[in-house]
Amino acid sequence: MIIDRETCIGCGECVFTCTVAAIRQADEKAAIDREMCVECGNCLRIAECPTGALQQDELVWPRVVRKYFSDNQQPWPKELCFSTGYGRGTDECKTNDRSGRFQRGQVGVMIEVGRPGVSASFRDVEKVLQALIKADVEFEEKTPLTALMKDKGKGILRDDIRDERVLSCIIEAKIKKEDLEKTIGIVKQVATEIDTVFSFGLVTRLEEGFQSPLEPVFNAMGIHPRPNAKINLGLGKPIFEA
Amino acid sequence: MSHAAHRFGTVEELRSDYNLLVKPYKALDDVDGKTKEEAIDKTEAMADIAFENGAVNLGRRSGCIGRGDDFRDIMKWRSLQGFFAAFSDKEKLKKVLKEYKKRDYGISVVAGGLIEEIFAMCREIGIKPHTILYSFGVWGRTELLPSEDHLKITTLCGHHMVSPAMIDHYVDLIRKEKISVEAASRKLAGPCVCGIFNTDRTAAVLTRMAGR
Repeated sequence: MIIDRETCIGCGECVFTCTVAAIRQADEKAAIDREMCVECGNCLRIAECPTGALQQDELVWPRVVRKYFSDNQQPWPKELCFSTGYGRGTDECKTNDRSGRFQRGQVGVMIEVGRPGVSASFRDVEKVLQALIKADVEFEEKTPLTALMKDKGKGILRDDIRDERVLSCIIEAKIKKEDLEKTIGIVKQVATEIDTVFSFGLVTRLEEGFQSPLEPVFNAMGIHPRPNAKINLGLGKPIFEA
Repeated sequence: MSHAAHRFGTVEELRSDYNLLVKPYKALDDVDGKTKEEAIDKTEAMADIAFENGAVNLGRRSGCIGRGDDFRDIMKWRSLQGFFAAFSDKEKLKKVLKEYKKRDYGISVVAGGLIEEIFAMCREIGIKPHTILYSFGVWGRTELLPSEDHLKITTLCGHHMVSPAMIDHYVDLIRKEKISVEAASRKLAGPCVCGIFNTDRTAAVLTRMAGR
């Protein structure tokens, strides 16, 4: 995103729309910090710039990666073969009753780096990826992030995207239930090593409708999930059975 | 990730914030034209039920009622994208789920909100939940986060398109009596086209932030 200083009248209408506070008023004009801008496009859609000074410049690789991750209206291009359609992740638990993505004995690890609202560089994303490798995770194949890995076995990203920033980026992985305690320990440690935040979620199939097989581990570790969650109700058909 | 598991709020506040996601599964629903059309028809019927039973917001990439878009226009888009909805009253969500169970559409349904409340309504209706995504909150440099009140609104958007500064902007306008709390809430729903943004909850938080 760019602001044409010649036509900007400094009305400030775009400043408050920025999801990452990358637009500031300077010398009675609005200015974008291009390093912090994640190309989410929110300003262009919401601000109604009266002079058209706010513009989407042509984004080329690797900067365009910012937009694919950050702008929920921007589809991933099919020719890049990353195509999950739109957005930052997969259906994760949303269709699990029909897809069987997470099966009994498996735990889904969902880490949204940069969320909520802090944003993240891929350097931080890579730190989390490399930490998770130590937990013997299996990265979800169909995410944009996995497609951007140079070495999946080591959690190494492509060199050309490492300096890009995104509003957030979802790491989706699976572990064996017996590796849960180790994984949580690793996640706790890497949280102290990054320059941003992440929201942390775990996915499991429920037993007999209401029993969570993970609760004994949570209790033993003294960590407790928040009281609200996302629950696939099992109304899909046919139900996937391994 | 719609981030529906990570909405901020106290237990009391979360008692009036539930969300719903109806999601076709492309590997099964996009195998041929007939199957696809049937899945879209079912999704539309499910959206009708959510709308008629008092969703405070409902939407998809084509728009959302929370910011004033017309429900019929939103649903004209023939797509397997599914839809999101938000409810402030658990009894209304319960009615919707009861109807889904009765009509047996076979499309995946996800409910977000307080686990104990969702489980209770499932027991009552006879639904056995299949999978859960637990939230363990935010980790890392949490000192970079805005205030709890800001987060109670920003985390209502599935893609975090509502900025803390936009909240401050409307709080200021409310204080100056240049906009009503309800109108400000609809404005804040603007960047969140998915329809999962709860405008009622937003209005309650804005009221407190504006000291009204």
